[in-house]
Amino acid sequence: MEQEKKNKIAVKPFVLHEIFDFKRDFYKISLVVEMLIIFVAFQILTNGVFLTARNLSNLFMQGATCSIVAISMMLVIVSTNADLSAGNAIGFMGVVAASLQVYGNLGAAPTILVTVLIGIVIGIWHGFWIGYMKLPAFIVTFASQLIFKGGILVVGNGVAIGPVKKGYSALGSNYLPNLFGEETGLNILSLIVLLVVIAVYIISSFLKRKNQISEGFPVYKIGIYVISTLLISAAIFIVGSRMVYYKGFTYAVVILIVLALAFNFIVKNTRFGRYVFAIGGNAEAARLSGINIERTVMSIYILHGILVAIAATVYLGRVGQATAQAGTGFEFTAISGCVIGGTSILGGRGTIIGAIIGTMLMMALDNGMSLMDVNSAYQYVIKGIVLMLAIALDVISKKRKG
Amino acid sequence: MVRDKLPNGEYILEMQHITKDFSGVKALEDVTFRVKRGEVHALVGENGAGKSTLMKIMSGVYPKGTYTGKIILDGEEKQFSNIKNSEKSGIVIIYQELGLIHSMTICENVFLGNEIINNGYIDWNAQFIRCRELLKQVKLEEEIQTVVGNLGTGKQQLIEIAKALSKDVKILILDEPTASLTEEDSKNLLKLIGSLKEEGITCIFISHKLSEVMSIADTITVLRDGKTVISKQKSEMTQAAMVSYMVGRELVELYPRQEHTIGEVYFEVEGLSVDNPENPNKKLLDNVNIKVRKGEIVGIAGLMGAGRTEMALAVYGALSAKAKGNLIIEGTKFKLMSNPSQAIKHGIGYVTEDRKENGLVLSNDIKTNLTISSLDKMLKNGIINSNLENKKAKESIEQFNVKASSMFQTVGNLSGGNQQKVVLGKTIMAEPKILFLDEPTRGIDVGSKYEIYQLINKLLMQGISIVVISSELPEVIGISDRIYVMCEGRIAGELDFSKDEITQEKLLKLMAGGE
Repeated sequence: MEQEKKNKIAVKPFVLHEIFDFKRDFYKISLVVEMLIIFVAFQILTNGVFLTARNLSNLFMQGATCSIVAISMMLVIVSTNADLSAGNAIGFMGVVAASLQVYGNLGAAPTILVTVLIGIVIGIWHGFWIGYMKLPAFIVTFASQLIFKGGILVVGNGVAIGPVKKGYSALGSNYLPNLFGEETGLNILSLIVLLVVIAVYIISSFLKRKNQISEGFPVYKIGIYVISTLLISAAIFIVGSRMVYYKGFTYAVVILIVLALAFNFIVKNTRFGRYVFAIGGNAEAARLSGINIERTVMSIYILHGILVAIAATVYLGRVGQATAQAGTGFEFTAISGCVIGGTSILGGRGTIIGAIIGTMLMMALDNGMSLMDVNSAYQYVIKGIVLMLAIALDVISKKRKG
Repeated sequence: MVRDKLPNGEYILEMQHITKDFSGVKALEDVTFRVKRGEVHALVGENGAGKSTLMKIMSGVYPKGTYTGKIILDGEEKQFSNIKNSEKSGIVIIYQELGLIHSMTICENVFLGNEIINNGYIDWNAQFIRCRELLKQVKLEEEIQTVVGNLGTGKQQLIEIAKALSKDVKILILDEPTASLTEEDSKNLLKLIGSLKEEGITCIFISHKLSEVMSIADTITVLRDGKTVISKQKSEMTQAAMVSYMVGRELVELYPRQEHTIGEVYFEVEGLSVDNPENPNKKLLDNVNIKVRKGEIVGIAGLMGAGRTEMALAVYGALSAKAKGNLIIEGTKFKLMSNPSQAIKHGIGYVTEDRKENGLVLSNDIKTNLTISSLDKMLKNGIINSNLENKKAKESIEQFNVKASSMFQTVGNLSGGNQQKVVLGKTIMAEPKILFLDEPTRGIDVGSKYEIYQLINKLLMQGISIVVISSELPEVIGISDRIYVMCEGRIAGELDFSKDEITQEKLLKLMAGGE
């Protein structure tokens, strides 16, 4: 009997919840599953075109614009606000920047400076009405959307303005230089960036785990932790290395990575970051805790304005000319991306990395469907359904937790 | 057997061997609960004892199949799958948080979801007539077209009861009905329950206020840790016995008063006035002056609407209405604070009466909630020093004896008492010199209450001045060095413990506006 009992213990049964804590890691897991489904499905449906180095590189280059917007859109949504004007703001800033370049003959640096200043002014405008005057963000930014739409036509007269100068377009479309004059497709500078990203990921996840253990928070077993960290690192490396061996990273992707790391740091390690989440979780409790809500909301929109300006620069650099349609629907992609990536539409919860992955997924959906020649009418329908389902998932999971 | 089947059997309701668990945790274990026809049956127990769970099973919130055991109503076994179902059988529950729609009129609220329909349309005339009858029955003198949001909590409670009566209620369940009522409104409500009883309505009454239970109940059932401890006639029960059944031990002293030295006057409120934006003729606060000494605990008593919370919020810079007046802190005169962050910088702390709504970010963890007001002190080059933050949070959790697995636990999952400790911990971490506690023990169990009183004592020993706003008279009397009584926005009187001036009678008189 005794012996039998020992044997039973020795053979450990496979327990799923020891590997995944479904309740806690719901969004991480669902995001990975969604990613796998979309990648595998498109890989098959496009006869292998989807995951080619060239297409991936394109996808990241195109996705960079919306992903940059998604970073600060995440903060906006977490604070229970919204920005419906981001897409048209990109179009408006693009048309102004292109005019400065083409008609004003301005250099890249001053053009970018002006764009960022416009972004700040837009941020102050939104922050004033939403933060200080307590108007609903939905309506305020909906109004701005119309204003920017008009602004695009006023400044650009409805014609395409371009092309922008070479120095300017480099930001959106050029690849990192070949530092060592490599002859092959390998781009060493990109490889270094990739390795740095992986190192940052491994170190920060290790520190987080160490901190949690020292405070008695339940963590996954060491074996599971090591395997999952290695798997994620490997996934980053595989996707990244395809680009490293193709032509390397574009500046746009590097800008995205730098902004993501910077904002991740801000969210976790500054008062501002804490305040954003506290306001989204319970505005009244935040106010009574001594948080200046007006100023925090203002800061969110100013930061958001700056990121939208950077996104506009990257976008204009890539397409080379400003058109009246530029940027339309970008806010939709960014908001959907945030929600798919685990940002709660009810506020108080969200991550930068989730928002970026979610946005890239939306772009992948776009890209994959285009490769498959899906009629654009159906593309809209499908994207609408995806957003609907993502929000439903968010609200239902919140309800179930009680 | 036959006798049980008769509708006029002794028991109108029997819940037999009820067991209910939430993912492995037993909330109720083999509970049997019998209610006699036409009685007022009080259900008491600490928070988490299972009272609400039992009521939710009775009213169909937890549908059949999610629990085991039998519900027998009028001799007939019943299985409810939702609230509508149980209401049809005459069981109506009124929750602590009232379910009225503030923008609608009394009449619309009374018949909401239960409209009188004639040919597919709402028969407003019939509703008006019936509504007037119901208001008379609950002794509420208001026009039926009055918008509910304009009425006080006491009157809203009566409307809830009218709404229950409109549904031909047989068993009325009241969950903590007096928790947010003034003494007078409570008295009226208890009287009403008495007269409903005479009309043959059985009433189940859940309350933390044991004196009310003693005054109104015929039978008392005590739950503890999901089990029935005892069910007795009131005549065989005393308040002290009830407490010991609830906590499972004799609680020697409800209010642990401790010797503490009271210093010089530390804090003064001078000429504080606030206009009422809705009614310019009646001020919310009218020339309020109070003084608090170092290491002193001052109670603020008063009826609901006397301006107690408004006074604290105005001092804390958190009142939205415009306030006039001055603060004198250690002899230095200041204008009123313009926002809470300024108040915190001047050493003023405020703990809200509503921890879930205004005190905590429920979706965040304990640590983040504890440190949110004190991040300024944890910065290194503008960045939060996470080692220091963890250390501070840990100290606070230990000091306040918060029961949690770790500081990363989500606050929403804690019990009421532990949540209150987190709110206190957050406020204390900002190192206030004077602390306003607004109903610090509302809705928490006897054991946690005792711990909070001890914490207050500890703070007093450290020389912190404390102002406690409380609607529970025994509490104010039990812990205060001095009491200010507020009435209709003014200070109606001041009573001193050391001069033996504090009695319940004096307090009640002052609260009601007497001399």
